[in-house]
Amino acid sequence: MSTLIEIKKLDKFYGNFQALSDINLQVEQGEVVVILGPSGSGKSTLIRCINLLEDYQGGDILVAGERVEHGPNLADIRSEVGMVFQGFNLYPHLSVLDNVALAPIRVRKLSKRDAQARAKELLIKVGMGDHAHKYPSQLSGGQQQRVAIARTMAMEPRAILFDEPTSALDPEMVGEVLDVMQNLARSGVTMVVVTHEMGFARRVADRVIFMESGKIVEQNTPEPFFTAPQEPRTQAFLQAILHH
Amino acid sequence: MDLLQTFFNWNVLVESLPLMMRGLGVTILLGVTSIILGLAGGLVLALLRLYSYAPIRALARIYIDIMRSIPLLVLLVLIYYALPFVGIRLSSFAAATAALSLVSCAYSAEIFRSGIEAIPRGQFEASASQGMSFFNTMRDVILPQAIRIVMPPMTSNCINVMKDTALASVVAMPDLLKQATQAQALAANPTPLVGAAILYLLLLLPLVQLVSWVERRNAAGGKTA
Repeated sequence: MSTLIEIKKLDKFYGNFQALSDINLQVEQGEVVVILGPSGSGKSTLIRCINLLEDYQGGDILVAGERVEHGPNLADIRSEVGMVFQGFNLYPHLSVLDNVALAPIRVRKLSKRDAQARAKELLIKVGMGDHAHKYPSQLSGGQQQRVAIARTMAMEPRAILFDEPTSALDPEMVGEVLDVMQNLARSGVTMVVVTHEMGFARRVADRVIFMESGKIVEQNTPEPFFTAPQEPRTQAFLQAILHH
Repeated sequence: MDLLQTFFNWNVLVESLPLMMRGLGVTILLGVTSIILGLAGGLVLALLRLYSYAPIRALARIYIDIMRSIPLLVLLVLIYYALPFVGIRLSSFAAATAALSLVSCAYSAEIFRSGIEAIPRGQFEASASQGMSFFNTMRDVILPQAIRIVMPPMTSNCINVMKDTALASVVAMPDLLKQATQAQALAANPTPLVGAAILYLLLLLPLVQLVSWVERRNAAGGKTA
């Protein structure tokens, strides 16, 4: 296995407030890493630094050996690291099919025909094949998020970042999105997932990371993480969540 | 009867009509040219105002503020009567086009800006996260949505430009109003002026109604989301 994402001594500030401090993290090719933690712990901020939607002030982030920074390489790096957002962020003025096909046409320089054919395949894969001609506003939240996942997959990125992908969904729609993500994980895509879905973390993750107050508190494979957490703060968090 | 003879004199109207139709053509040409230049310039200006380097952003803002403050007629007179003193001699059409589009691009820049700023941040982020360039993001994602939002105010602005073309008659531009006043002087009868007013209404009333229609449709809530 080779390292795909490497984060070294990462510091991130909002003014005087330190949102992330001394984060060190490596994600291997094909690995599924789930990041847990209370809200405000910096988990979303962390993955938003990986594709530089948030600037960072100290340390390094490398994707496939290239430093993530503003400059001519940034767009290339971003095209290799997809992101799925909490709020879906589909393009409301484009059909579902065009949502998926747009970036491959513009960034990967695919012909419109090829891009749409591929988009159709991906939509079928996420169970949205019958909705290709619809607009995002005509879809439920779960359907929108599945389209957003297909849109991200269309770029064939080397890794996909998930920023609380099910947090904005009605409970009955969470399952359909998690199923798609689980299939994606099985197919060998490198994934970094910020979520509150403990079941998903337990079933799918290769490694679970627990963050609090901008620091990584504990990380481990799922079984020992959930059954025998080492740090008192992890124990408290899991207690609160699992007994909820 | 007397009133009809004075304001709606058929013979005078028929005689002055060819002249006025030519004037109407000039008015439309002037208006459309200025509207197109104003929209194109406004879009560039809005993007500079939002996304360029700080000094250029500041310059764009100063330009916009000045052009929105200066009376159009004053600018027009400056361009036509003052510039020749520094060797810049513009035809009346060029002067009028310049004045109209210089001002209208400042207004359309502000309208474009409000539309772009109304687009949620997530749209920029989604596009950026896919590695789309600034140009592609604007063309394919942001502007199509922003333009839909600003359609009503932008159409109003275009109507204003079309109306303001009448000011060009001050710099001897043979537009509809100028031709009408000349025909009126020639015939010693105000019918051409009434005719001109009616022609202006025929030109602009449909546009005004278009704006109301678009606004009603937006209020009813299409698939904007």
